[in-house]
Amino acid sequence: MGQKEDNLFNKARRSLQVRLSLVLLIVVAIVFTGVGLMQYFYFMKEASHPLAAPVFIGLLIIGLVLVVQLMIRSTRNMKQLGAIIAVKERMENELEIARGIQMSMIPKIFPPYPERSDIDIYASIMPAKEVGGDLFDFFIQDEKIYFCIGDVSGKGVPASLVMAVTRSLFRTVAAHEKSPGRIVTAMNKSMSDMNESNMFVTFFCGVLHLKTGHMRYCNAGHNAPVLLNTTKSLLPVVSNVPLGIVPGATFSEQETDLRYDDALFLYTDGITEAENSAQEMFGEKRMLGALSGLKGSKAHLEEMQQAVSSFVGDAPQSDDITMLFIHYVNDVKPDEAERHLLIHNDIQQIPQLAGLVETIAQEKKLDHSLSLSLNLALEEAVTNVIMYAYPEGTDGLVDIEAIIREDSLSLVVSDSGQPFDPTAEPDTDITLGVEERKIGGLGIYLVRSIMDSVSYERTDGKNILTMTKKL
Amino acid sequence: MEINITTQGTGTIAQLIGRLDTPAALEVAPAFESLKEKADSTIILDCSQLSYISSSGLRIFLTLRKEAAGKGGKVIIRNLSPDVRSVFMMTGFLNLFQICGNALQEISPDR
Repeated sequence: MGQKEDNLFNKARRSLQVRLSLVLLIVVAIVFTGVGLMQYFYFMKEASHPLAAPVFIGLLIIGLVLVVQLMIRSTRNMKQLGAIIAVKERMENELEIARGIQMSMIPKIFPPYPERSDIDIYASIMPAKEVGGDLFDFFIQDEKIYFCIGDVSGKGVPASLVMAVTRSLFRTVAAHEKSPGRIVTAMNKSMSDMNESNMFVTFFCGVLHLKTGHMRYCNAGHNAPVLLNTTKSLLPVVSNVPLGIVPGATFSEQETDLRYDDALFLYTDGITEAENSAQEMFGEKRMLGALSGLKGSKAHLEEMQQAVSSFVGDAPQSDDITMLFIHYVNDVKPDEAERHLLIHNDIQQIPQLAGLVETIAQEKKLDHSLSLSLNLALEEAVTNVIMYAYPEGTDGLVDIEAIIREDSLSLVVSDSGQPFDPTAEPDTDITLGVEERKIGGLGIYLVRSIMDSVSYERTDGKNILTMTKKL
Repeated sequence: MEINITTQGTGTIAQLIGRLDTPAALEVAPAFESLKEKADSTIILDCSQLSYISSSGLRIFLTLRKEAAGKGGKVIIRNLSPDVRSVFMMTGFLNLFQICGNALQEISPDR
């Protein structure tokens, strides 16, 4: 890019020199031709001097030569200008294509999940130049929405390249790291390792569990998002360093719970630092003020855009502006929630299963022995998941759903761990004596003995075990 | 989950109180390790107040039973409640242990 710019600069300088010498030539040509003509008319009338004819013919010839030269030069000059315009147009074209590529890297169809009733998202990105250094992204996996927003230092083409790298890294890392702290730490590692241009990225990453509203997040030097519930407040964030500066930096993670109808507003400093013609900044106070009670993400977004643009007025946009609204509309009905349980892959959470079974037993008036048996089958299924689907040290969730019918009950245990089919395990031989009897293998045997049917399937990266008991 | 170990003559009585689920099995594992040292004599596991058992609990029972078989000791299970007894039955554990006591008489009235 640098060499091309130099070439262009040299060409422009040369064309300026050419233009100056052209002006000079035109002046000289006009003077000479004028003097020649004047002398011609003068001497024609008063043809007395012997030198009159040769002088005026000579002057006329010099004038004509200069005019011809002028024409040749200006043709050459036009060609050069044409070449410069062509280079400029090509660069503009390339920037336009780059802009298209950059915009294709961020979600642009809104609402992104029209089929879902639990999440409502709207976002917009407005680069100050053709390409910019802001980014946002989100995707849903295993009933969790992973989202991020970031702002690369600087603007224009260099920032846009770092933006592209950041966005790709987010997708790559988040595909296998499930916690925002680990996602950010891994991203920072690869970004600082190759950071020769000393650019950095302020970044916020969150993971919201759509069934529970539990959100974990990690902030790397980015502006604190706004939490919109009954009040408007900035989400408490540990600032941490931005990405790409400190190679071995650790990024602390935070957590909170979103409730029904809560919303999050994420933005880049293009909003808070938007300037009007008097060079005043929009600021946090005006930003919070612009967020009214409306809860729809689209309405919020339009409202904010309106507030910023009427504040800025005619002043040129100085920085990229990005906004991301996430409205959480967890629509689990209370009577359904009671039959649903979500636990971490931690053995210590096993006693919670008894609570779920107790709720079902009361609802269906099951006797104590049956309730204990159901508890046992459920415990065995969940213990298997914790022990085998999630390798030790990994963090995961186990989702338990009870489907209560008139004459039967199904317990559905699902997890996002590695494929594990407990029904494929061979039955333990319960007739063996003490010496031969194996220590393990009892769990699935108990599940099979207690329940009437047990089936396993692997769908969308999940292990789903469905156990049904006739009532 | 609670476990009370007492020595009576040459034998040992371990009284199990509560629910022996997976986390509880981890909790009582050290106590069962200490019982293993006495596996050359008679160990009585009193289950009158054991209300629930899962495979993790059965596993530590079996481990102790194997230890006793190796050392020539005995493991006697006393006063199984009907619910726990049915788990023992399902898994064939009734055949692995010496079971004694009439569980029905031991059950508290609210059961």
